[in-house]
Amino acid sequence: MAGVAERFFATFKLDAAKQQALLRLRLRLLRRQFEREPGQMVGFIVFLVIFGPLVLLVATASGFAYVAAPDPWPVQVMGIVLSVLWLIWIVLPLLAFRTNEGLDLSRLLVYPLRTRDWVASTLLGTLFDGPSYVTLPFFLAMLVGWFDQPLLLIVVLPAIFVAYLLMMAAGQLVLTASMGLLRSRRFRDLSIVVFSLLGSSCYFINRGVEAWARAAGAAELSQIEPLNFLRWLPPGACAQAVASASAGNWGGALLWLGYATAWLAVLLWVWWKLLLRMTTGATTWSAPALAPKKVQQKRTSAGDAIAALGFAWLPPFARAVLAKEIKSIWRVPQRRIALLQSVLAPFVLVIAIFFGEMDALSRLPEWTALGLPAIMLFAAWGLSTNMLGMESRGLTTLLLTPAPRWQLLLGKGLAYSLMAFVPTAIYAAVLSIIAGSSLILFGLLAGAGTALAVIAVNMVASVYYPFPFDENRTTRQRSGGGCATGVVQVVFVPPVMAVAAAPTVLPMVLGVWWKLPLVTTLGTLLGLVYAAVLFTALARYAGQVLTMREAEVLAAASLER
Amino acid sequence: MPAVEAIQLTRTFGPKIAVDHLDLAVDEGEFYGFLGPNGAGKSTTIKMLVGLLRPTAGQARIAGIDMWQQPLQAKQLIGVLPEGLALYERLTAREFVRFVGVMYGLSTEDAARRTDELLDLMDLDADADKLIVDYSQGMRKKTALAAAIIHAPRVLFLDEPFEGVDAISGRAIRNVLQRLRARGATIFFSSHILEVVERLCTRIGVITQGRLVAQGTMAELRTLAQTGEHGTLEEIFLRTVGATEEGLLEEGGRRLSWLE
Repeated sequence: MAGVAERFFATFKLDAAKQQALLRLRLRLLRRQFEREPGQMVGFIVFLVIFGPLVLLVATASGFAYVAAPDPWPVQVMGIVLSVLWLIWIVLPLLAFRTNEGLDLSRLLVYPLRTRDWVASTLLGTLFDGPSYVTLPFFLAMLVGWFDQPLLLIVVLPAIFVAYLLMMAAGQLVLTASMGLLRSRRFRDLSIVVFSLLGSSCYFINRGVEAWARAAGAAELSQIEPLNFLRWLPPGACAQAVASASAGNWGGALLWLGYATAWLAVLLWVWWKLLLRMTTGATTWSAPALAPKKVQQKRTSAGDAIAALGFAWLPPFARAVLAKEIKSIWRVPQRRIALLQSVLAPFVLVIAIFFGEMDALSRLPEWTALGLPAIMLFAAWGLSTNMLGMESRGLTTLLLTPAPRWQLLLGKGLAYSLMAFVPTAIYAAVLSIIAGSSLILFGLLAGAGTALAVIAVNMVASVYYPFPFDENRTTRQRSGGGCATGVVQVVFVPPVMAVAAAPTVLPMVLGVWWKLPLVTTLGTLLGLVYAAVLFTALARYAGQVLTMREAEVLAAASLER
Repeated sequence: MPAVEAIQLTRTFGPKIAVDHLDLAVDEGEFYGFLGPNGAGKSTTIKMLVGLLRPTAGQARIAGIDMWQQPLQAKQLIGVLPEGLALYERLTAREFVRFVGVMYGLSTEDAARRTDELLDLMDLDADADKLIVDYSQGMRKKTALAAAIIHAPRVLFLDEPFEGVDAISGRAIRNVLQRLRARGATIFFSSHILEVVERLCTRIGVITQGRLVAQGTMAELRTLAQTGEHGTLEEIFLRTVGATEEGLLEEGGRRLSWLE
């Protein structure tokens, strides 16, 4: 085995020792990714359990299509599969860049590596990356699918091989070309938000695809032959070669294979040149050239404006924290997700009401009024969980100041209330006008009370059970915080929230149930007063506890372990 | 009354004693340098003195106020440049320094005016409206220092203020510290850059393995370490922590045989 490897390296004039060292480094970094963060291993296993069978299922289905589908569908499916895999190879490394240090080639810039060694080690390294494991079952399905046609395998085998090389080359080229962008903070922020909103957007994508499929009609869809377009793309050309061969056009098959190989040569050449340029000039990932500094204009941020206009009555410490918190929620991508979800949630409710199966319009006021507290509950919960830990590195600064601690919590709590309330209030006002019902506005008031109660509970939870949060990481929180913290946050806090929030919602629910508007009106207003009192009282209590537990809170929320 | 006082201050982490019954007093207006090898307990001591880490035993006092009995009153008197800087990375430098000013009780207008002056002094005005997350290490350090002094604290604690800072930024920071001291502030700082400590400090304490092994002015330390009247702080430091130059060379030579 060692002899084979040495012959391989010698054939391509590669430095065997460096290749082995680089390969070992790549494997070690991959392994450390899981060792350093055991939570990632759990996530990986969950991912495998969910997506592993899915990949195998789709690969098996594609295998059946190659064997049993009527012409021209076997080659059409092959074209689709290869093109999708090609896209996965391009996109996945970009998404995994932050978590897999092995993908960051710039770290090797300081060492005396020849470009050929760099190219070879990178290509060999991809054999251990995620996309390889996704690709393998699909390639196996292709081989099994055409196994009974030995003559055709003469084209299928090189087509798969070229397609695989094309995937590796295209993925690495895009990764290398985007390295500067990938290393930027803005890309990291954007990828966090996009990733997290993918789940929320599935609902809309699903609706869109359904609508398009209905409009197009099944008969029309079956007439589409995607390979007519895909064959001009590199992996599609490989499938077209198989299509030509299966139609007996061997010359055409050879031409299409040649076309795909030409693509491969171009991609490799561009990638090679790019690497060469980097090793000699380091231009792609270097910082932009220094320009003369311009004194920037001072701008008043939204947080400052809101705090100055609407909350002038607040004590100055609470007002400053409120303004700071609004800025943080918007600027820290993981926290922005909670805000965006609180904006999206009422929108989903509206879509569900208007486009769902239920007889919506006639029951719009009741459904909306009952739905709003639930929306506000989840919005406030998402925004206020671990409110001290979410300060990240700034928590030390906050706790070094002599500001009364209850005012810190008051400012933070009001910022979350505002963020949960404003988007919902806009939707509620619009729906209230459409339905011509004031019940929706009472739903909004009940929702505001719910939000205050939820935030009040989280204030207390945060001073007893904070956990670390690193705003420079891609995940919403780092694993850790201890078993007790996890149990409390997951098992105990939700029921306490439900109990605390019940008096704000029950009067409205009972009023709607019994059809007694007076119960709804008076009960909701009393519920709101109760929530405001609870909010203030728990802010005071949590503030007192925080004053005595600052060192413990800092230790629990510390990023340094 | 000392500006900073540690009485039998102790901190353990499991079986490890990080700070061991430390007694220390820094008078008002002093520029006190706190030295020690890596892991000696410098940062742990500073954290206990400023209320970030609860001592296992002992007391920490700022101008006579017990940090752990009356934390808010004690914190009103101090400014801190903590280890790791503890910045809000998604605020701009202007927003951050202004926020800290208000949190120390300055009016919004006062905080804004002082912020502008400090950022100008630190040569950060051109980048003052950029997010801190996009700053270099030197810019971060200057931002954290601006935030630490915006309320003109009576006692300033600085943990490695010159680490990772270029010569220009280092000069700017030194100038600010000297101005503060001229106004009567007490400065307590730890650093590995011995020549800066030697140049700035009126008194120096050396800690190793959690214990204060030497303390005094440069002249007193020279006598204590028997380095002669021209002994440098580096020589004093190496002797007081028990590391001789010969020993270091011998150890290095033994381990790196290929450099023979």
